[in-house]
Amino acid sequence: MPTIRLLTREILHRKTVFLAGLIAVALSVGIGSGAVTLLRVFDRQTETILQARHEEVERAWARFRNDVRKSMLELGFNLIIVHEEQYLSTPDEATHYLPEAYVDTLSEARIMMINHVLPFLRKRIWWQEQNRWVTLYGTPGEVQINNPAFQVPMVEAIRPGHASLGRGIHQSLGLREGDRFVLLGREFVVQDCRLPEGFEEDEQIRVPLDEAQQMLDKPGRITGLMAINCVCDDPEGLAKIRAAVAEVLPNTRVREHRGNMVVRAEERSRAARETEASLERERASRAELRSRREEFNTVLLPLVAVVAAVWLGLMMWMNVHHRRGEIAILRAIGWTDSRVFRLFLGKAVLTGALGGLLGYAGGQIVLALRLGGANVPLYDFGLIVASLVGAIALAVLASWLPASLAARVDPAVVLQQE
Amino acid sequence: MILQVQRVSKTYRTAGKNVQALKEASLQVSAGELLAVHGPSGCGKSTLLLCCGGLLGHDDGGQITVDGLNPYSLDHRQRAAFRAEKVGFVFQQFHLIPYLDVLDNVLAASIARSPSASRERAMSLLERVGMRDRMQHLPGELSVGERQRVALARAVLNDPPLILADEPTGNLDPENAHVVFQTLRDYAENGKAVLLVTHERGLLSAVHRALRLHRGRLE
Repeated sequence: MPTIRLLTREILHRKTVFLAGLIAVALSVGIGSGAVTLLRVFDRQTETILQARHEEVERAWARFRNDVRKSMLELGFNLIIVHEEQYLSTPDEATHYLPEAYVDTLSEARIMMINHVLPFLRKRIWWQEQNRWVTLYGTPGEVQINNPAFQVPMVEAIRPGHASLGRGIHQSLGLREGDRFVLLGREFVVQDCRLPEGFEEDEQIRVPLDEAQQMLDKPGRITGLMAINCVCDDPEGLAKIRAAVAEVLPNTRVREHRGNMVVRAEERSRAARETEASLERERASRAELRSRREEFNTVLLPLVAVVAAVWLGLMMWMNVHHRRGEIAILRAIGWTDSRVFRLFLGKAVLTGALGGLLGYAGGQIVLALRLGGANVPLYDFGLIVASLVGAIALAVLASWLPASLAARVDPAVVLQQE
Repeated sequence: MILQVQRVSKTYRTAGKNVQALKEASLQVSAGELLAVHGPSGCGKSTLLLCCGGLLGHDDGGQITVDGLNPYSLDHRQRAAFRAEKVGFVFQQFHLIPYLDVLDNVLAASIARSPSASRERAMSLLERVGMRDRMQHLPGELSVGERQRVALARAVLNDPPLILADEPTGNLDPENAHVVFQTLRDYAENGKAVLLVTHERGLLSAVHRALRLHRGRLE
């Protein structure tokens, strides 16, 4: 007779005892697999939260970079270097000039944060031919490239004898590219008509620097230097730039051009950094919480396993005790002690396997009901295998001693007693 | 000779008290013989039977051979095989497994490699003891006589050369007692051996040979 047949018949005969053992295993597996699933759900939530935070940080930095980029595109320059005694509130009324050689000095200083240097000579003048005020703005017409990595000029060069007109001028005078006009007795060809840039820029006539120097009788002199900071995403580096410029260009002062833009960029930067810090805080907080849960599990799970093992061992011991007569007769009719041992251990394996499956299913269903089905994977192959193996191991360990006792039952003693 | 018991002694040792159950007991049972050992309760009849079946060691001396084999010279596994192949037990209390039906109780002793052959033999034996129509019943649903008949079928399933029967009719009504006894006698007369212990003197006239066990000694 196959051992398994005897095993199943006995289980069906003593359902209550079997169920008691099964419940113990199922409960322990349910708690165990539930705890693991809860940790996994927690990890997924953490991942989602941190991903959302990360995206928020990315968005904040993107906003910041975009702001800086837009500011840079809009303004062209972000620093202006002028004589330290130049009255900054009326830049068009130049009182102090810098030597044009400062351009080379600054270029040779190779301040890595400054990639484009643009000297200018600017003065508000009476345009007698048109009977109006304009700002004459002389530039060398080409960009001074400091860092070879940045090869794209940010300001279009102005050809000799040509001029670039601000919107306020070409609109009011009806001038177009290629038209000619006379300024302070000198004829210019319109090189380009600029789009709206701002009140001051719209009233500017930009000409080559040397021509402006001749017209204003300021040879070798410039009003200041525009420095285009290509390290655009680090407005916090402005202080460093100022310090570096002060070292190489004496008697100068550096101020932010359109400072409110920079302030705004700095605000954006701070916001992005704060968001980044909050991400780190969230990450640390989640890690701490997970660690606490793990600690709790390291106490709870062994405790549950021990209680279940003791309970199951007790059930099995009682089963052996009740079946001493049966074991004796089985031994008397030729069953070996190892076959008796396998009979009881087989029961333990069956209890473990069924309890493992029931416990896993029960644990997942309870969690799904509490946390929502979408958050709890009902089918997790790895966890099912772990639950099965764990439950069988638990049941086998708990039943090992009772099964050994069963195998050692002395049939002669029992048969004589009965 | 199927069973040879030579000068076997057995003493039960308990705390502060030794009880000698067998004192140099010797007997032989040949093929075709039904030997009865009788005596009052507690005289050592069951001890003799358990010793012959390889279930109870006789540390105080003597030798037992069944079908040429000394069960006590075998290891655990061999001794289990010896009990399955060489000996069939019938007990006064039947010792059927309560959750197995009649057929499965008989098959519990099976050592045949072919389950179908084993099943066929079990059904044939149940037919012979008049239990064929009850083979799906549990022991709890049977009368005591019926239970003993099932136990008898279980004992002879593997066709062992020796049947050891301990008061097999002790709890039975005359009709069932007759069936059981007759079955044992028939089994013996078919070339096997039966050692029966009983305190019922009435059975002694129907056995081939009888010995009296008195205070551990065979007379």
